[in-house]
Amino acid sequence: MKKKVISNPVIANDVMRYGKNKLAANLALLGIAFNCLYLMFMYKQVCPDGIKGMFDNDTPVYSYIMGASVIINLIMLLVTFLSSERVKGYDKRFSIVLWVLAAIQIARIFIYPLTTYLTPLKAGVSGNLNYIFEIDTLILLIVFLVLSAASLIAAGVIGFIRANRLEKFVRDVNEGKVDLEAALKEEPDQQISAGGEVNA
Amino acid sequence: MPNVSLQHIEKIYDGGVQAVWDFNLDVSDGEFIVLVGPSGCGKSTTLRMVAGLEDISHGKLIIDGKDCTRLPPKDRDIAMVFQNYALYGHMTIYENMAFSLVLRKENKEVIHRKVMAAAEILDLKTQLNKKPKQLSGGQRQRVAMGRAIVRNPKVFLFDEPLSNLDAKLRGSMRREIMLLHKKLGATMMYVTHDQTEALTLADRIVCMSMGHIQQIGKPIDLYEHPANTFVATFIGLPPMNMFEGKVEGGNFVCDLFTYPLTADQKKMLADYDGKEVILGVRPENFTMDGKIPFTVTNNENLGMNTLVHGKIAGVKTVVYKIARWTDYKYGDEILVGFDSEKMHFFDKETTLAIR
Repeated sequence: MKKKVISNPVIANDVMRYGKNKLAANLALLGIAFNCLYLMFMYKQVCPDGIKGMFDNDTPVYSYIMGASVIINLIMLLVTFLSSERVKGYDKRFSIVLWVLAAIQIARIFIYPLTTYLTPLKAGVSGNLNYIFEIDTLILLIVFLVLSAASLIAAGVIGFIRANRLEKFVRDVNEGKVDLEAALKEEPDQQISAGGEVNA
Repeated sequence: MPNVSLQHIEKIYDGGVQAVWDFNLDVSDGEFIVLVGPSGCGKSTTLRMVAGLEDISHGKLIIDGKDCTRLPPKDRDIAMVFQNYALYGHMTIYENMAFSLVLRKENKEVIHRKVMAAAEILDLKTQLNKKPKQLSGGQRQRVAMGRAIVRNPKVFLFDEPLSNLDAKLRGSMRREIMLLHKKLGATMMYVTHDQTEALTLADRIVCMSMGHIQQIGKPIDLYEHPANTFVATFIGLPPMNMFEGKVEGGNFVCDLFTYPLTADQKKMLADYDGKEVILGVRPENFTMDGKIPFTVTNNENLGMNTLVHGKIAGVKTVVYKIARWTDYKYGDEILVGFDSEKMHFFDKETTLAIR
């Protein structure tokens, strides 16, 4: 059976120099995916019966706020994607950007779904409340935002840790603290067959 | 036991065109074989049949004792380097070199060690994070070789790998391939139409024409003892000068001159008295002490030697290579002869060398 884990820590660090931080980048993309799910469910609430009522002036959500919401969400998605690409290349500054994006996702919970849900109730509005979320929809939206934020935080943490590790490794190699050549020439712990297969 | 054995290999395409005829070759372990010949002679087809990229119409291919005639390419344990590099443009050099091992689901540590070792051999360590488009042609070809090296195959196949490079780079890459062969000690089969590559790289050369093997031998054998007129004129730059004539009364007689044969030559040509033969003389085997009139038409100084183009008897165009700087002018008349030890005779009918 082939062994997947790199046993030699020097080699493990050296591999990072030529590879990509796929885990962090993929977690950031997962954050985007949860954000997209959030958007789909959120905008579904805006027009529950399709385009019917699109021009109904009594529907309060069709406003400049909605346009702004779309633009903000597009920017969020774009910045998250770009950050994921930079984190993939071990750029730790963009780990911080991912944390900021995660904070925005958390903050959004209190701005849009929660406030929108609570406002009519606070105002004592009665009658047709079809633009207000049901409680289960509210929970779903909050869950998507939380999951998105969690993914972004995790991406940021992994990106930051790995970027720091790589930075330290490169510094150590340059300062001669790590003998990379010797590590590369060392025989791996496991027996390697002619085809390069490692037998665990 | 030979590492690669091609036994009566033939290639016939669907339209009935036969590209390779009865190809027989045993390649020893660690040997560097060069297949050389003009375009369309079947050398690349032969190599592609070894690689499994072309079906073998007839014959048998044995690699390391295993019959690989009908085996798919992936199961033959060979690696091929192409003329156009065939690198993945969206991958880094490291990823390109590691790709075949990743596909085989190798351990990451093993992949890294192999890629770094290959990069060290090929002096590519500083290029590993770049994309192919950021590299020069020579560097890209080194990457293609690196991709082959990491697989540690039984046989390396090279299909005109230096043809896309400029002359200077080709020279340095040629030396790198020689070094690579020495370092790896691997079996290599190399296709080229460039005789300089063939002569400098090969342990043995397979000279091909029209799908047939013309001669197999060490570079020096092909140069000094060509098997026929094709090999004689194909190997060597400038090519061998050929004179058609007859053997008559101990002389080689042609329309242009009569040349007295030595005792050894008379003995060798004893059966050809009165018959038509072809005399071949390499440009560097002319001498200045002869009696054949040579009219200079062009004087090409190349630094360490000079190529003097001219006509014998005002008719036959020949090239004379002199190992010094000369200043002959158009129309200069000189008398030339041949180094009797280096004269080649061929049967005019069969074109085979007379020995």
